[in-house]
Amino acid sequence: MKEGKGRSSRKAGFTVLEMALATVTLMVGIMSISAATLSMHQLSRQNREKAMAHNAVHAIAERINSASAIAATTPGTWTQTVLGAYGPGGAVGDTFDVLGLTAPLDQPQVGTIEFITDETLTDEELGVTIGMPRDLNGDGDALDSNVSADARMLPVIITARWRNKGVPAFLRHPLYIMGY
Amino acid sequence: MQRPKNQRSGYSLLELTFSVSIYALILLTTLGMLERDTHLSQSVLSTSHVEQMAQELIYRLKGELANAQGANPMAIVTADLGDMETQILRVDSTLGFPNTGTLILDRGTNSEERIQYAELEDTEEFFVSLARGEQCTDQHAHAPGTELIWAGLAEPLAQQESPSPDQYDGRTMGILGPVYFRGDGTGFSYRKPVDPAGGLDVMVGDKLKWGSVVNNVPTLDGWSALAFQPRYTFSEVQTDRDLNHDGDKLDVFDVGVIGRRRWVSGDASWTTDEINMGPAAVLQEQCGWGSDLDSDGFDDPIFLWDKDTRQLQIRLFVVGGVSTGNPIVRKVESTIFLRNEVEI
Repeated sequence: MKEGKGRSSRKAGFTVLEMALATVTLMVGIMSISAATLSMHQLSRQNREKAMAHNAVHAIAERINSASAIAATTPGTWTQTVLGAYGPGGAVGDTFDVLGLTAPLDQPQVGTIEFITDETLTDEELGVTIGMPRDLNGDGDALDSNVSADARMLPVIITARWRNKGVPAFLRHPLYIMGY
Repeated sequence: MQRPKNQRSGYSLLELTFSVSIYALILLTTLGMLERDTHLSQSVLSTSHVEQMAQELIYRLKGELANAQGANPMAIVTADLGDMETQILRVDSTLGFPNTGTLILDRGTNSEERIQYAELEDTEEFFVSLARGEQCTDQHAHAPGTELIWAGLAEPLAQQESPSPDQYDGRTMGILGPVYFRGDGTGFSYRKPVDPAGGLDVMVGDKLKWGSVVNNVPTLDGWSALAFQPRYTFSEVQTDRDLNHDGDKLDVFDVGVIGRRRWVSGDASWTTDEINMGPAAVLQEQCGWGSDLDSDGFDDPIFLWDKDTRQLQIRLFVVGGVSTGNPIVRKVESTIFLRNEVEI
């Protein structure tokens, strides 16, 4: 009887090894949860940055559309007016920043605006699907390498590039603006 | 010769203390990590939720306004308005004003007053049922010739070069730099193409037919407006957080919805059609709607309407996590170019 009782009381506890194993298992589990939480945090941040970039690019597209609509009231100078505002060295300029996004090291600002004035360029060369090459100045062909003086419509490519903890990300939005 | 059993099975006091210390340390670390993870998860989920709310609201507003034609509701007082008058305010025209709302008179002067009105008279010459001295202003008399605007509207001044304080209500960051504007920027009045016959023919010749669908009835006398409507008050003191990063924890905010209102101008017999465009999560500073919400030194109107470029700038500060005592504010902004020409 006594021996039985002694064995029973010994069995009721945990050995150091059992405790250590349980603790290690618990720690591994908790560290996995921590890793998942951090990963979720990172994904959430990526989503937020993408939404910010999307909103900014869309806003720029709307502003260019607005400038184009106003400039189209004088069709003869439409291209010059639009490029004079949003082209390289224009009043607004062809780059823009997005608050909350960090520009890549090789460019000063997050966003760039590119007007395509060469109607011979293809979608493959431009890196977007926008139906190029296309007759942009209404002369019946798509062979002119510079239509900046007489374009009736222009493709515009708005690109946002940023980095998230060193990882590059980008968003590209092509659109057409009309000068009539 | 065997050693006594009880000597082999026990631990020394030193061993026991050592093991207990290690387990206590591990347990405490584990609990700390669990608490940190819980907090981080809650924070991530709350933030994601708020960001999603804000983004959904922006998308809904863009969808609502995609083919809209913006209006600039403003009027001139045509009869003396005494400081105790609460019945009517007579103006040249109430066209474009929502059928309830707030007006700003004598802005930027010592007589500035915000007057709330409950309805428009059918002749479109009177604001009816007035509540005087609203939104932290005092009651004053106003003479004929005084210009008034719907407080919801925020529009840039034509004269941006050093305007005097009585000419503007705020200064915000625009596309090309700081922009002086007037109004609160908490609303936007507009019309949309409609076919009064209920079909899809919204053209008369080469012109669009403008109006609104009020209670599922398309009508050319219909109007729509989006406006901030406060639902509850939130104080920084409640959670000891500096939500607008202005260096103190004393600010009080109105938290509300962006409501869409549709009504028939000149016919009060129509019931107003009202819905909320999103949850009650839009933040505005109490007694300072349209003011700076992120301490960047510029005011933050929700809507800034430039009728010349037809650009509507939308800027929303959305708050979430209020019920859990962990408020998070997120800002989303975008610009919409309204393709259709302004008529009034």
